[in-house]
Amino acid sequence: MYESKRLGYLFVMPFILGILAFNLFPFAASFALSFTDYPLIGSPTYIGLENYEKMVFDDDLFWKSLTVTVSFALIVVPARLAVALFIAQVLNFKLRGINFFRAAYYLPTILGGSIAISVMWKFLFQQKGLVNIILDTVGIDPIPWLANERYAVWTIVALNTWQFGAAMVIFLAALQGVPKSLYEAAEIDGASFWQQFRSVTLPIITPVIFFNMIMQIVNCFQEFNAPYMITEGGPLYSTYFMAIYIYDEAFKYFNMGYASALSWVLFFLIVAIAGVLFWSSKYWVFYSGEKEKAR
Amino acid sequence: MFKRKTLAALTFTALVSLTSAAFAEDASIRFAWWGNEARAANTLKVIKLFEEKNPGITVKAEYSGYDGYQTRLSTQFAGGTEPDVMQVLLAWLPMFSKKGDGFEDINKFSSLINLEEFPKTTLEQVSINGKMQGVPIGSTGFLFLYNKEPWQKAKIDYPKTWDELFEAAKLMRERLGDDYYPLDPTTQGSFLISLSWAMQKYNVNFIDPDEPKVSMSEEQVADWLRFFKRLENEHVLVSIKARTAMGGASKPTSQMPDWVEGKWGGVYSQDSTLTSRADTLTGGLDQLEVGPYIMLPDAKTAGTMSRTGFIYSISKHSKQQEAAAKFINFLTTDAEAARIIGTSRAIPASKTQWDVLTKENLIPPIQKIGTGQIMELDEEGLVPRFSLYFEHPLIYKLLFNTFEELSFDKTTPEEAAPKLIKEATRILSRL
Repeated sequence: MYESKRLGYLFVMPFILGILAFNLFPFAASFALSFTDYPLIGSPTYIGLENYEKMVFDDDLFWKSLTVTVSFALIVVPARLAVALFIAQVLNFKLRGINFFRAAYYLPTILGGSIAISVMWKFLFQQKGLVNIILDTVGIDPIPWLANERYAVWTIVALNTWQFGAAMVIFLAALQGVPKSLYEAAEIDGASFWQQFRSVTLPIITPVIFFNMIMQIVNCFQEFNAPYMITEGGPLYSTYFMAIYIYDEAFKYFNMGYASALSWVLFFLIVAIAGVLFWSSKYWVFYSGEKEKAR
Repeated sequence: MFKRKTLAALTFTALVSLTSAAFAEDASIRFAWWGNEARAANTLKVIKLFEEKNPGITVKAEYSGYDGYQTRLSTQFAGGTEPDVMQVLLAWLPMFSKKGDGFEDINKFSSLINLEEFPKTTLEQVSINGKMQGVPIGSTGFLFLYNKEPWQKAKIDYPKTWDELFEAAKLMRERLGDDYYPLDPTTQGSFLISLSWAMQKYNVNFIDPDEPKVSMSEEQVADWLRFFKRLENEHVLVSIKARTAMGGASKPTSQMPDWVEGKWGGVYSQDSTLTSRADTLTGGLDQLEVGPYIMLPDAKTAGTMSRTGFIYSISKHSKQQEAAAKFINFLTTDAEAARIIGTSRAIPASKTQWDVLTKENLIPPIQKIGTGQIMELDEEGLVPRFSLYFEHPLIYKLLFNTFEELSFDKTTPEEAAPKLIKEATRILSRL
């Protein structure tokens, strides 16, 4: 018994060591570094709360990047969830060649985070790109997608919404888990498709909606590749996400202490939003067996 | 029995010492640089030649494009795992080696690196607190490089004065269309080209070359910014806004489709990267010409930024510093190395390599003209000194933000000037 336990620990040891070395240690170290002035080359100097004070009272770029990130999450999370749920609902029908469509819709998620797709996106939306060429054929003047503060962020939103595959697969699994008997009962009661969806499907899959929402929020707050590759954070910082700001401060300007403080603010922000969502979940998420709440 | 044991022990000792001697002679060094494909191909050939001439030393090449190079290097620095030999931009010295202790002092290797090959002033430029931070590769300066095609098509001569430049822009637009511009400034060029004019007018640099402080007055800075706006508004420069719309505010000129199609008449370019501008032109180098340096009448300075561009430095953490020094000496002073590398980095700073390239006609004629122009301006005392801090990433970020806001009409020169001075002063005081 003891021997097998030891063997078990031995097998999980690489994972535990990996977590300790590459996750927990940097996590703790970055917290300590957030109270220092650490120019990367040289030793960190303790400066107390100075980084946090500077961020709040003396750094317009922090507020700008925070606004950009939060606005982006507010748009992309509902958009991606809605598209993912809609497509999952469509793919839940028994159609010929459905497996092909499921794979095809999942494909952008596999490719979406890659640098190559971001480069392609940039080509699509540049002044003489495919999108403007298509608009031109229907008589619409070219739109400076990448050079306009209002439009630039929408190119990133479009790319992110397109990457709905991961959420869609989870929704699809949830939809397939909804008992058929409930739909049959609803049909006998004369419920329309929309009524069935609203009163049967949605309540039953709320735990999955909740899960997807949390995952998407975390992803959106950490968005880096697309704005870095497509718009370089511009124009005029209109796509300057927190993750880019942290990266620039750490590796372009060597302010590792300040970058650590920014990271912790981002972390607390995600934790706070997740906390509010968890708290609110008792009002709108229905788990099986919780009849009282559902009523 | 005793004899046999003694013999065995002696054999063992001999074997161990021979083996360790062999290990001691073997050295493996890592060498990192950035650059285009031509530079990479030439450098790999030189590495091979060095290894042939120095058995026991192997050089592991770590090369990439410019994007991300500094980031990778800084991360390696933080972990103490930077390469033994690295190509470093002089402007990074205030970050990597503020007090001169970031890199190994090259003076320590004066028996291995022939420092007499380099001009004294150049060696002083690359030293901090008396510690030489690296070996200069070559100097570089900004000039006006033209694609002759649109100029010939529009039947316009290259401008010699700023007024002629504005007139050329007007004519080029009228004769060829709205897509045609005399100059693409690139990211840094947008502020450097207008700074050149401001320095010609006021004979003062934005940042004092001797101490980290702003030396221009508010009115002078405002005038500089107004001139930049005029260059954009009067269709002289491809605007930052237009470049952003084309998907590349910071993309090199040679990668921009309008340059490839011959719609942009020129670029404000460094003479060291002059040949790379022809990479995507169908006519190659023959399509390019160096124009006269545009000047204001009676200007006391040309305002071009000319300095030692980059250096080869040795890591403080390197365990093979002598091998690294030998390699740097080979790269920068060897005649055969010069024949292979040519001018893919810059016109070499060392005497031997310069002699080889000039005597054997290995410098492309256009590069000779370009470098000749910078040298001529220098001899006439028209090349100003620039502070190392001018190219600090924080100052560059500030300048780029200011010029981007101006290009997008989010601010005016009058509003931006005091802000620029205040913020630059704040950054400089912290550096």
